[in-house]
Amino acid sequence: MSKIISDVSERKEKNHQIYETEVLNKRGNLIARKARKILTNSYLHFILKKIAFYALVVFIAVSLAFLIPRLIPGDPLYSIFKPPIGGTQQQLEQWYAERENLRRYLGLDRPLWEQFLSFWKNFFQFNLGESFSWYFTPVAEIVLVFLPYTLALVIPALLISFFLGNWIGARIGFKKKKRSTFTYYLFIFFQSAPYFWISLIFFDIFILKLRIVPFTPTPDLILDPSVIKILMQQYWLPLLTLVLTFTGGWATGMRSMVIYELDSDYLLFCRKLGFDKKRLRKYAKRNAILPQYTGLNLRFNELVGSTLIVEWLFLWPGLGSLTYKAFLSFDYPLIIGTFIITILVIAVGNFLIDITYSFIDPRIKIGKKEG
Amino acid sequence: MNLKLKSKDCILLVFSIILLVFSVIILVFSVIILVFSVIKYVVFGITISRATIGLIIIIIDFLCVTTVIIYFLSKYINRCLGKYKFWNTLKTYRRQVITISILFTTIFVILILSAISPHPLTIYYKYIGTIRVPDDRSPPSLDHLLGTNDYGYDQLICLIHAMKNSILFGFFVGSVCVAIAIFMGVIGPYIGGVVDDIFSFITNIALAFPVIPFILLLNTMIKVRSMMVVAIVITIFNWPWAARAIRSEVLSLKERNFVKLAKVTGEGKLRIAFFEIVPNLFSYIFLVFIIIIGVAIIIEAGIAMIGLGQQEIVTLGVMLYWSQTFGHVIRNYYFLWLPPGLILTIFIVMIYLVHSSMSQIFNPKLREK
Amino acid sequence: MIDDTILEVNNLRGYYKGTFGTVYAVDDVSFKVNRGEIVAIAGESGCGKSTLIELITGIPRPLLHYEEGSIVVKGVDIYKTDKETLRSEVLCKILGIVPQAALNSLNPVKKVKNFIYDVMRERTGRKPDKKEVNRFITDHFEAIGLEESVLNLYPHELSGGMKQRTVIGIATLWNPKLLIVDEPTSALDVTTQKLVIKMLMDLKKKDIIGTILYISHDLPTLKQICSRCIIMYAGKIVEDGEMDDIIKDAQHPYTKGLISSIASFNPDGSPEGELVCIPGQPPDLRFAPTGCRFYPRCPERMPICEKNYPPFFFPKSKERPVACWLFK
Repeated sequence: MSKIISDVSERKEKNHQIYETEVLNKRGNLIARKARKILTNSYLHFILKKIAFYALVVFIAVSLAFLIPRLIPGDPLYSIFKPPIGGTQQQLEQWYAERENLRRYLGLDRPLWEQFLSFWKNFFQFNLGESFSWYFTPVAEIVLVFLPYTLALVIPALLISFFLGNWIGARIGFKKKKRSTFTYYLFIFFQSAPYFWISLIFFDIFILKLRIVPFTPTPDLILDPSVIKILMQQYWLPLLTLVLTFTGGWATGMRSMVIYELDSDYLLFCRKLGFDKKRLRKYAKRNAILPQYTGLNLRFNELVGSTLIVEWLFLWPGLGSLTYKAFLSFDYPLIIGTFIITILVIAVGNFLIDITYSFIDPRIKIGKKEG
Repeated sequence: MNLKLKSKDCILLVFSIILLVFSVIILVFSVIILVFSVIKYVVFGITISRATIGLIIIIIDFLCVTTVIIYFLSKYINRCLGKYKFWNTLKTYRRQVITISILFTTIFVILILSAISPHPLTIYYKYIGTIRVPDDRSPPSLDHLLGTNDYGYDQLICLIHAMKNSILFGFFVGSVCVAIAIFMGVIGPYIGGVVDDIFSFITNIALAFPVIPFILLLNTMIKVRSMMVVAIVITIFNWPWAARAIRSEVLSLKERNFVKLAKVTGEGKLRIAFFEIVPNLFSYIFLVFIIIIGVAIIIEAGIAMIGLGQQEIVTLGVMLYWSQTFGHVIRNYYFLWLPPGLILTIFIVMIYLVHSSMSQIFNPKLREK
Repeated sequence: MIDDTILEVNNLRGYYKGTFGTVYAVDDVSFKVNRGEIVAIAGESGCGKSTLIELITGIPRPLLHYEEGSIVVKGVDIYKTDKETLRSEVLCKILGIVPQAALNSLNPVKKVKNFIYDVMRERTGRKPDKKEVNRFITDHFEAIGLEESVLNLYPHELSGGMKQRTVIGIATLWNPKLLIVDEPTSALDVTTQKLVIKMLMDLKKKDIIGTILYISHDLPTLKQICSRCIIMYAGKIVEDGEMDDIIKDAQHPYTKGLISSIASFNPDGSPEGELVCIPGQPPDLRFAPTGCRFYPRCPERMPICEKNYPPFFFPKSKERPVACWLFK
């Protein structure tokens, strides 16, 4: 009897031991394996590397934005706040004292490295200084009001020109007729035409001649709903300028890529397997987009720059015309603030484009197992 | 070797001879007109019509340049067909020949025209009653083929000089960019190791910076509108693209056999880099150079039009700036705001055509059949 | 009476035409392939073997032009039927082709199984049921000796040998009557070559494929598989007969030179026999010579060889044709 009991207790202990060693360890191993998978996932590494890279880019750019106005000879406060003409000596001295107060308030009398540190401290608190010309409203607020209007131009222009341009380019590349050659030369013309000159042409045609778009300079305060209605009428003109210029570039590039892809070996094999033309073209397009996508980075930078100028010319209330207003009133903090936000937009855009590249091209081995 | 001369070749040969004869006739005719104009000037003191001279120079120049280009092309591409080399090259590569000769012709013509025309900033006057005022904004006439400016400058002469200045600006920026790019692109991958990593890292970081926001930042702060500042800034932001393109070419060239051979025979690394690799890069460098010229011209014009560009020399951008400031568009002065942009477009189109046709030669994969 | 001829080529001419002039790549080629044979087409690089295959497919590459002659594949005259019927009926169902650059023949952005779905969709004209197709492909690949894991990979993740075998697998999905394999082993190492050859022999043994046309310049490999051999030189056929017969007792001077230039070793590693090279270079096919194309390099040339191209003669002891004036 005692033997049976001891047997049973032995078996129980053994089972318990087995449970401990095998099952618990397995669970522990599972957790350890999952943690290891997350930590060593090369896709995560890639993302972190890219974040560090763009953080460095933003750091350098913003530091330059900090340094440039301070290294320029001349006193910025002098041009903005000119001393009163005439008036007594006492008034003049009072005015100078007030200006010194202003200087101390703005922190322009401290040594450079101190200014640098406080600048970065403010940066991380989303404080970009205060605007001179808008009666000391925080720059961050002002810029964030104007930013959506620039994005409303940039993002649709980018998407439309990319997809439309590549589609047209592929169609031109596949057909060899006279009409497609004509379209090709037309797109070369559009691609080469400077966007600022095209904006003058559109200004002339649509605003002056056809009078479709009203010529009202946009008011400063943009949040009224009535203002938004007027803005919507003016919206498509700068958008059309940007789309026209950038579509041409994508179309001509895609055409040559498609012509190159049509000769590749895998398409010859597919032809021998009996594929019809539609599917061959689909394959060619899919493979030709890859090198186009790598050019997206630079074109995006170009697009943002062009948008700033086009806004300036059409007085569309975006970051471009904000810079224009700030330039007219020598509002340095606002100019620097606009620049910083522009750089951030560019860095974020490039970062997103870089990350999504691996989803399109399976040959980039980021986070995938090697066979 | 039996060379069977097909009928197609015969027709082309005859056609080419006719074209050549025709061109010679035009050439002779133009020389006669030129001589006659000079005599007319010297004898009668009448100003030579600048358009006539321009036309003559264009024709002469086109013929010379075309001949030279065909000659060089036919040397570059080896054809084994003896005396038919000239015509065959013309037939096969007519697109390249046409685009390059038009580009070079235009550049030469502009340089020559700007050399013989008067200074662009001379004010022309008119008389209202007995008062002499600057002849501003007068529409195109026989005296001023494109009208006059707001300042009284002749628009056509301004345009010619503006184009010359734009091109020279582009050349300047392009050559400095390409020089930096060759340095960063060749030395880096050739030495390899840490140096390569550093150089490519610097290139990648510089590549991410956009040009126009920086120039907006800079020129809104600085009151001086200097050409050197704009040129330097454009150079700083354009060399990374060229450097990356050159670097990828060098990386692929490095693996080729002639480089390995040079290494094996013991040549020094720097020697190999500059005497083996760079000569193979010339075609690529040419293409990169052409593109950078176009990019530099456009950026400079874009910024100048806003008013933040340089105003020392009159370029096409400065002319557009005048259009913007003096409101030419609103007042319907077509002859004042259309030509600069049009010329700019045409020039960039020519640059693009040269680039795409030359890359067909240099990169055999892109040859159209 | 079942028609035994799978492929019959008569007086085929195909030239490359471009800005470089005309290259007379395939000039007056005629031969027949019967059911159940494994026929090799051998010859130097540049003698027109791949061009011949391009012409047989009916869709030659951009610069290649079909000039004249007839190609009949199982009763279908390739250049007399319209392209649509060719595409939907002949290719892949009767004729299966494994191209030369098989290493680049798979779409780089699609997984192998997605590519095969597309192939099935093209062939059957409707969307395939994924489960069914999966089963079908897995069975087929297993039958020919490929692992199932290949299907879920991208082409750049496969090794050269696996790519080659995958391409052969795809080309044989519908059990074509004639499989044309163009230099499958030239880019592979010896062990992988063995796998590919074994796969082809399995295909033949399991009756998935009836007839194979094997193009190569690698005579020792050909000897292992093929029963019949056609030797080509400079765009024309010079000899056509049983493989063993040709190797043991070559008749045409070019074939003799080809056989003797193969390095062979005794079991102990010492070379067996002297290595004899054929002097000179193959002719430039831009200028088609009038006489025999082997004339400049032939050790047994005669004056008549320079003027006229020899028709096929049958040497006394053999039943196979040889194109040489020596056997008149």
